[in-house]
Amino acid sequence: MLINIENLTKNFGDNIAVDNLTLSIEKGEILGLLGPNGAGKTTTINIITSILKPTKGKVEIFGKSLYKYGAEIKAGMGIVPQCISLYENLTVEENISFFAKLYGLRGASLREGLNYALDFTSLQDHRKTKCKNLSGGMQRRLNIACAISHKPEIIIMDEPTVGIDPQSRNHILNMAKELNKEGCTIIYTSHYMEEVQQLCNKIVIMDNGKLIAKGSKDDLISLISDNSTLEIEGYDIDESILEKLLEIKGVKNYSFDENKVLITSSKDVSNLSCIINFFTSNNIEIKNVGYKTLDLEDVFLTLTGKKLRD
Amino acid sequence: MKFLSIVYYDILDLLRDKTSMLSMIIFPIVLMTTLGITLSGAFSSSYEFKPKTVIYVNNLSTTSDFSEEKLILDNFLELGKKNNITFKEISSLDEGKKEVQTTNSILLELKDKNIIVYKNSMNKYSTNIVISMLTSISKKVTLSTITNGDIKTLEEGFTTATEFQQKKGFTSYDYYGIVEITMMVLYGSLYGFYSIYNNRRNKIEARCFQGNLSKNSYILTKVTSTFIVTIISLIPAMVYSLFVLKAYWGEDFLSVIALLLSLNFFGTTLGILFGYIFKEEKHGSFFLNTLIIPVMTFLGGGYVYLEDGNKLLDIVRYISPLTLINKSILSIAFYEDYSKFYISILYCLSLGILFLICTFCISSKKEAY
Repeated sequence: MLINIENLTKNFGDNIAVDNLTLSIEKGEILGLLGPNGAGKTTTINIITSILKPTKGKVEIFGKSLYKYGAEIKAGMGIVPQCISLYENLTVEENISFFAKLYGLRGASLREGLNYALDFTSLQDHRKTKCKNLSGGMQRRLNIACAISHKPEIIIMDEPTVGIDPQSRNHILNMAKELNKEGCTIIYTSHYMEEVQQLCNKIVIMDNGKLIAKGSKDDLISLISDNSTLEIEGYDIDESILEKLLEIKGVKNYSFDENKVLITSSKDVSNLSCIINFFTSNNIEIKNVGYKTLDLEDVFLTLTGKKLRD
Repeated sequence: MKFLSIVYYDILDLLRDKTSMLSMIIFPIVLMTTLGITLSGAFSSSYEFKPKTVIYVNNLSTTSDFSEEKLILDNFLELGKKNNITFKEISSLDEGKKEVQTTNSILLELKDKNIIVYKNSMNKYSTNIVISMLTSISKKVTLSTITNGDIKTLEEGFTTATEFQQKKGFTSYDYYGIVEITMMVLYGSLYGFYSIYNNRRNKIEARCFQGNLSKNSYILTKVTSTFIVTIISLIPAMVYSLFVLKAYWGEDFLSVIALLLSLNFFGTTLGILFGYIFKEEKHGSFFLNTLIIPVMTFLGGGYVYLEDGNKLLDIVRYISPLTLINKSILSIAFYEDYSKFYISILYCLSLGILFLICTFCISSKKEAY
């Protein structure tokens, strides 16, 4: 076990950011921390990277207590923060060197680490370009380069794809996979379900600081395999009347977004006609109806009663 | 090595910030030039230091052994005449006091073991020159026997030059060539202040801690880089002051540099402290950039020359290290007067160390960034 977290709790005053979290991460895994904003993902990451101290609980990394062997443990970790954590007036090369030197790289090892990071992130041609002159996607790649020059065993990527185009996002996801192939254990936080679904072999769903569910994608979907999700698109839907959907037999949950209603029902109950009837009797014109393939979004909706991006 | 690396890259980043760099270069040059030109007339009339008229009354007892006082006065009269000062002996102290009140004269009363200098509030600087001349003559002429006697003054803080030398009075170019540089040393604090916030906002600070840099070491890297960048960014304005405006900084450059460096330390630590006191950058920026530095600059005479004299205002003014530093530099340059030199440096360094300790304390209590 590479990382072992037991009963981790973090309070900020009366606000419980992480509530009694227990999880473990094996070497070579890509663990996805999935949850909406405010779920406690970044707080958990900040505790693992010892930027924050837990209110209670235990964190062991490489089999050692984080609080006793912090310096040693931190040297084996790389962090890709949520924001662009770079000196904008420094060049690509200088930024990577800065962070490499923070981890003690000097001389030949520094040059080796620098070239490795530049090659890995395909930034060799931009090594003399100032950070502020790079595109958003390239800055994200540089953010990653700065975290890997010292070749850490564990890489923590905290929402590394926020605010970038789909092409750059794919590039970053591929880099994460590549790093994993090279032997890195990765902790990847996101509120983009698709990314976590595509990348991670172990997923932890968090909400309000609590662990809601954990396992592989299939494990998590199997948790709700006795459910089906009906997607109804209509015109001018009044959200206030949707509460009554829960009175229909078999309906477990619903969510509403831009005239689309997702309704989670028990597979065992045949209630399609009742649901359609509910909409027509409320004078809602239906544009589209269809059953949705189950994904992590449905898992989250079923377990928490809300959408990931609420 | 880690410490030096961070300082190096921090300096590079700050020096490449063209906006800050240009403002640090252009702002003082524009100010010292425009104020120097605009106030050149005011300076030539206001800062004529030589007293025009000195009246004196001889109240020494005829049988006294205090001929030293008379000797000092004789030397003073001789030196004064060479400098076109008019002397008038009067018969009574009351008559002299009236004249001081009505004509801005300076009155000397020779008493046993005392020379008392009377002045009104209008001719402070002339009085200082008179006191300085008397002091220097007393040390030259009767150093061993004057020890029981005092030269008293109605005010405090006069220059205590050991040797009176006729120097040129400073012009507006000299004055603003100096005080705008010291003002900009204070503005250098903003490098540290904004650097703290930028690095916190973009998580470089957190990444440094994750890279095993302690909180205190991080603060010290910021102090060091801000200190060095302030020096570098002021070089063009300093060169302009010295070689274009030809501002006279005196001959003792080492002492002047020591004063500027101590002020820089004060400013740097102040900026860093503000980066830790305020959670919101805009609040810290408001207090530092638009309140504290301009007020300290005003009190230190960075915009207009302020004379000593109002006791309450003087107390407030001398709270600002800029006042002490400006006075020290001007005194050293123009009167070779070092009386405020050590206290100025000690004051700046003490405040700087205090600010640094406060920053360490605040930082140690902060957990989330």
